[in-house]
Amino acid sequence: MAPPSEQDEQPLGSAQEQRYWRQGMPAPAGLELVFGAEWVIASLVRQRVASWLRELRWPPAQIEELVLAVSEAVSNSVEHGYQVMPDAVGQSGAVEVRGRVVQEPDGFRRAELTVRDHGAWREPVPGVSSRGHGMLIMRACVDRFTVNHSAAGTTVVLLGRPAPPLPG
Amino acid sequence: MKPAGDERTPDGGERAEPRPDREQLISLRTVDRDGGVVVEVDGEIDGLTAPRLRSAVFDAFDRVDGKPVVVDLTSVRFLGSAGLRALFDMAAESVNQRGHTPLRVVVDHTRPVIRPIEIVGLDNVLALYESVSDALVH
Repeated sequence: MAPPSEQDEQPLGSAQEQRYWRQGMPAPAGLELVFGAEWVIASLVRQRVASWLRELRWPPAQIEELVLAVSEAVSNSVEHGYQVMPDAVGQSGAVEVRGRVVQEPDGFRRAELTVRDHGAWREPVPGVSSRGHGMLIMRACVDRFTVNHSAAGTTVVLLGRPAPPLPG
Repeated sequence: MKPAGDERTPDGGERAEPRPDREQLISLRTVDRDGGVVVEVDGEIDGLTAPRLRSAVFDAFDRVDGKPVVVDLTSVRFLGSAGLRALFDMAAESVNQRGHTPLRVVVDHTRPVIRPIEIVGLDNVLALYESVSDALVH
């Protein structure tokens, strides 16, 4: 992965950026996080995604939905992708989380969150399992939920529901 | 020292916040009441913290002496699939293994808790109450 920089991020349409500018706020950049796979990182990702979306003045109910979904994706990477034991310290691989804002033609915005690991994919077992529940949660909380898995790892893309444009 | 997470931020900075341990993410208190034993949960229930909730509730099962066990989730700010699984298992354990009255779960309408319960359909399975006093009376 190329080293991230603010110059590389173009998360906001120019009209959006101007609105921030007029309101004296810097336009928040996209989110880019890389963590070593440990169970505690789900809570860190929840915090970071929530504060990123709050900066973007996302509707609070939608923040909760996106936080629920991204937490499940990250937990899957740790638990299943890398099969980390709950009490393990030290990491067996990287979990990458990216967030960007997709500008819709009607001015609405969507948050797109991508969670990527380099671990092994395992098909969820049907029935009552936290894994099956995690899939249900991700599907329910976003408009589009896609999973791509290969020998190189698993990528989950969560595209949130449209949020209203910023006023002004 | 290099931080354990090797996180990079968009400006290339290093991770700033300390890593919470599970004691910071969840706090549990077991209270003996007239009508039963109440396990009060405060914080976040995910894969890291769910095992602590499980053992607190299983300890409560050991001491109830026929009275109901109530799990109070009104101060929970996050409930993920591992927490849902723990609730399901604990409810099943209360009835199938222990022969107790079913586990009672208190949730108000705080979205972060009721939303995931409804998504996976556990609202049809768990005995849900809106307050601890309701759960102890019924």
